[in-house]
Amino acid sequence: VNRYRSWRIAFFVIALGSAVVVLGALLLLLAMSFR
Amino acid sequence: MFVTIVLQLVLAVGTVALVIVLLPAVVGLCALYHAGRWGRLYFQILAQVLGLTAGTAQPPPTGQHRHGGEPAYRHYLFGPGRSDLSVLLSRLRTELPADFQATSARIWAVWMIGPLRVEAAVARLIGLIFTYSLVLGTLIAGLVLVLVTVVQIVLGTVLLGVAFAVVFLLRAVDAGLLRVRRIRISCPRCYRAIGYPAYRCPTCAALHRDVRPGPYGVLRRRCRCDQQWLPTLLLLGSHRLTAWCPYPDCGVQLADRSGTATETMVAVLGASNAGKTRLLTVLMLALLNRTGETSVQFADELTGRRLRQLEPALGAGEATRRTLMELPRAYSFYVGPERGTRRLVHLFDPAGERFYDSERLEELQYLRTVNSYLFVIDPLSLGQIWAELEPSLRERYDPLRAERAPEFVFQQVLQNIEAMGVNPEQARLAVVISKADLLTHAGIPTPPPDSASIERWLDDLGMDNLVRSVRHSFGEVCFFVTAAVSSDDGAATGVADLLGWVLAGRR
Repeated sequence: VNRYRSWRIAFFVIALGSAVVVLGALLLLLAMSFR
Repeated sequence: MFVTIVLQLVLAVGTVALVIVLLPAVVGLCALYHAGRWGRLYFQILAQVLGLTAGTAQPPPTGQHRHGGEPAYRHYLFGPGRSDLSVLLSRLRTELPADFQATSARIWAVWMIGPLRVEAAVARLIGLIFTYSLVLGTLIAGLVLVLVTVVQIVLGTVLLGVAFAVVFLLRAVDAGLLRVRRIRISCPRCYRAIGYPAYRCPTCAALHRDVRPGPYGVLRRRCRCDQQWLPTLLLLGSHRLTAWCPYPDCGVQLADRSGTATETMVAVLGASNAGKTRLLTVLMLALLNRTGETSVQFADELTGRRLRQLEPALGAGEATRRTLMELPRAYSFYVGPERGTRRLVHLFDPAGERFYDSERLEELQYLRTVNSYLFVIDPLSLGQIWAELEPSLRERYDPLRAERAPEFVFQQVLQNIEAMGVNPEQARLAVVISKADLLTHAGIPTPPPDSASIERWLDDLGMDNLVRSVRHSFGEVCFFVTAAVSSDDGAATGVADLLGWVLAGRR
């Protein structure tokens, strides 16, 4: 039994979300530096 | 000639275009490919660490109780979450460099190995481009992963902070409610004040010494047997579980639903054979038979069992069994509600011999927190009464007579409770003349049942020093005369009044 399944799914979602946010921020910085 | 020049120009422009535009594009695309591959690898490892992918091994059994801890699984935010992150980082530290080494070795094996010849120059150039792309992609992915990890740590810390805030808030609300409702929890056996009861798991009987919100759960906790959720506060329903004294050297079962009612502690004082146990039995029976709006329930099974053992002696008119010298466990009842909320009444009945010796008296630590005292005086132990008895009655009553004079017992108790730091002026004392039935039988008039008359009666019997001392020491004093035998209507003389006085007391 995965005891903390809900919390671990939340961990995964947070990791995914933060990756999206970080990549978005980096692309934004890149775009701004080319402007 | 012209054509050659044009061709050379086209070649030069093409080379420049290749170097300036195409090469960075190829390097960038390859770098993004490697970064994406690392991203996929990261999420694969994460899913494995969290046990979310089918067919992968389950995560380690983090959060199980450790030696000296509670027999419960820790809340995810208070340990297992950090442990998962730590396992993830550890695997990333080993698996990502290994992947980097494997990929670069593959590139070198395909493009960079072989004799240095002109026809191999293109292959070497491609190999260099791939290696450069791999390094660039690794740097990009590394930067993104570091930032993602920082975001996770920040979010985890924020969640942990919120959890701590909720823990402290819940604890404060629960403690505040107990304070407002003036609920104090005491152990009926070791007499110590209990900050919070311990509870046993209804399934596996594991003892949870401190169920309050904390590392093992905010609103509820999972027992180590993995079969039972336990609420973490009285506020959240922990009173429905069986409560136990949390002190390791005691550990007895507390009253049922401990922590839901104000406690009233009543201590019975008196010499051995003064009639304390008999009086207490009659008092408890009167309490159970009390009609009207008052409901009375045994607060624990033991009280009911002990009372059932005492009852036959009372019905048969025999002496109750001598109280043992061991530390007394309280008889506990829930009483109420007549007007307000119900109350948990603890009645303590120690052996009379305990009052003869200060060391043994000191062990009765409940005297520190007692609200009301019942001082039982055997009239047969009063010199004048004894002198008035016929010799045949003296012979008959001698085994029933209290072993020590009431003045001695009272002084012993007074000195000891003052040494414990108790201010008797803030306590109530009922002076109870027992065995009124024996006086009647001996033809000695008993005093009228009102307090002032009983006080005068004691004065007249030469107990003026005791009466003065009692009046001087205690804040509220009342006198009663009782016969601990049931009359025809089922009520014992004076017991109803005494019961009313006991129930009126509140700290």
